[in-house]
Amino acid sequence: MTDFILDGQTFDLEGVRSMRENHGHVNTSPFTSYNWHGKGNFASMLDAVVLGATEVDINFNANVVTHSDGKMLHGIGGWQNCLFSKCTILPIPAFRNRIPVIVDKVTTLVGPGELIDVIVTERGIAINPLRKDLIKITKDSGLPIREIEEIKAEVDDLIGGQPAKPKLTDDVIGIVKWVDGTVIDSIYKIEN
Amino acid sequence: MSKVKMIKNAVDRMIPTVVNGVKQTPFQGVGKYKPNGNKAALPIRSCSDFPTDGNKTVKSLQSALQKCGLKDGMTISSHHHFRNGDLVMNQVFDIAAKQEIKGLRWFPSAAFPCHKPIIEHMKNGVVDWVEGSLNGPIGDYASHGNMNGTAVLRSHGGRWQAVQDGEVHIDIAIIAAPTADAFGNATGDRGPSACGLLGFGLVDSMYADKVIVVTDNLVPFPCVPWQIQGQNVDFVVVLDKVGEPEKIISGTTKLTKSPDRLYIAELTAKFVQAAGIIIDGFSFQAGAGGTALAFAIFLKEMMKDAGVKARFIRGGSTKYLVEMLE
Repeated sequence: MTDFILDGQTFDLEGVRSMRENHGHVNTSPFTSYNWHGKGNFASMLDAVVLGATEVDINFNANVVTHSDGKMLHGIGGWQNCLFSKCTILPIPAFRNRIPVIVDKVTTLVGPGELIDVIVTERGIAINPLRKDLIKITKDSGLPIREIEEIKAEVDDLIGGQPAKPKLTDDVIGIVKWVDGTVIDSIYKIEN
Repeated sequence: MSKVKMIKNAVDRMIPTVVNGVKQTPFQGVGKYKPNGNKAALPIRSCSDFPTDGNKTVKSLQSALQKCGLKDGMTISSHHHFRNGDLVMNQVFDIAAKQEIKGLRWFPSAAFPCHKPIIEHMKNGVVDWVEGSLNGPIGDYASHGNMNGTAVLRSHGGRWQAVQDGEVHIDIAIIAAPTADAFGNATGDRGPSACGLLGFGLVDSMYADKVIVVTDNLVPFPCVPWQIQGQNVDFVVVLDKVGEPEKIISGTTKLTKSPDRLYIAELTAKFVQAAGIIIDGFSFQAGAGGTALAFAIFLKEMMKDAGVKARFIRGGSTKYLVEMLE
């Protein structure tokens, strides 16, 4: 069903076996796949990419490194690099442990909203207003397409408003680099 | 902990101007920052400094580190293709501790819960800070402000960029390799500890001052395929076991069972279909999270029904993607 798998890492032992046995299962490196300071890379050639996020906001900015409690518990992986695909989709639950995932402002900004095209939750699909083409083509699809603000308001209503923000100090314990080496956000020490 | 000057970047976030003694450039917008100058480069080497019979094996990891001139303040790098099953890096820092080395920077492509013992090495000063993806305990440790330096989170592409552009200089690269020859050619796709590929370690092998390949499956020259090339390698060390591949499946790489998440995955696939993306020759990538994996399964059914074939899928590969290839 596909000619090739261009692989950056194998996530299970079937992946390992396939890479050894299949000519079409190719080992790649972050240079060819993701490096911003090269003469192009594979990431922008993808027709669709599906990724996770710990939080998103109504401007489609997303977080993938800190939790809503402010703790830095994940790496970025290839996530930022993948945002350059032709259609970047974040399927995420509207809540995690009764904490809403769509927030006013993400705790840590790891991916700029202009690169995130679609957010899919169990309460509906939100398309980034910048992607007029996607809005148009899916208009009569019968899918539950809604404004992100509307989904957020519904969730906030259900739990009685946004929960209190995590208590963070102003001590910087980490920074988040953008793909070009510049600093896109800071990560703060949590209160003990 | 930095108390340095903070400035606002193009997305209205406050960021420090200096981190771990290195001056930082604030984010300027997508595609806006274009640095100039040349990439980092290595000193010229001579074959006369290396064995003519191609045998670069040394008797122990400790001896290899010594020959690499391990000393205070160095940057030691590693890849994370074994994910939570890495058996090498804890040994490296135990050796450094025994030799009373201080102030190292560990520059992994990612740290996992199996690296928790390195927290002890941060407490005793062997490791100053970890600069790489911090999954789990080390991230938690850093979140409480306990690390002696500032965490710097980079994407996989950003890590390559940082090394290539000279932001991070690697003194010693440790490359755990499931199969290698005595010259240093190495591959990840075979051997008792096969972990797939070694792509994350490729930049380390090309730009580090010294490169140590550590393997538990030494084969006669040539080791083919050779994703890591022996021309970049200083020493080869043979250990009993370099990693536990069964622990590659860790963290986020499990298929979701939650009805809500399955519904979200199905909606996502339906959206991709409605957007007209599923046509012959298309391409896609789905991350390692449980919902993304479920999405791939829904997509596969739609492709089958529509009789559509993709040109390529980008991995992280899983058995679900392999089924689509085979």
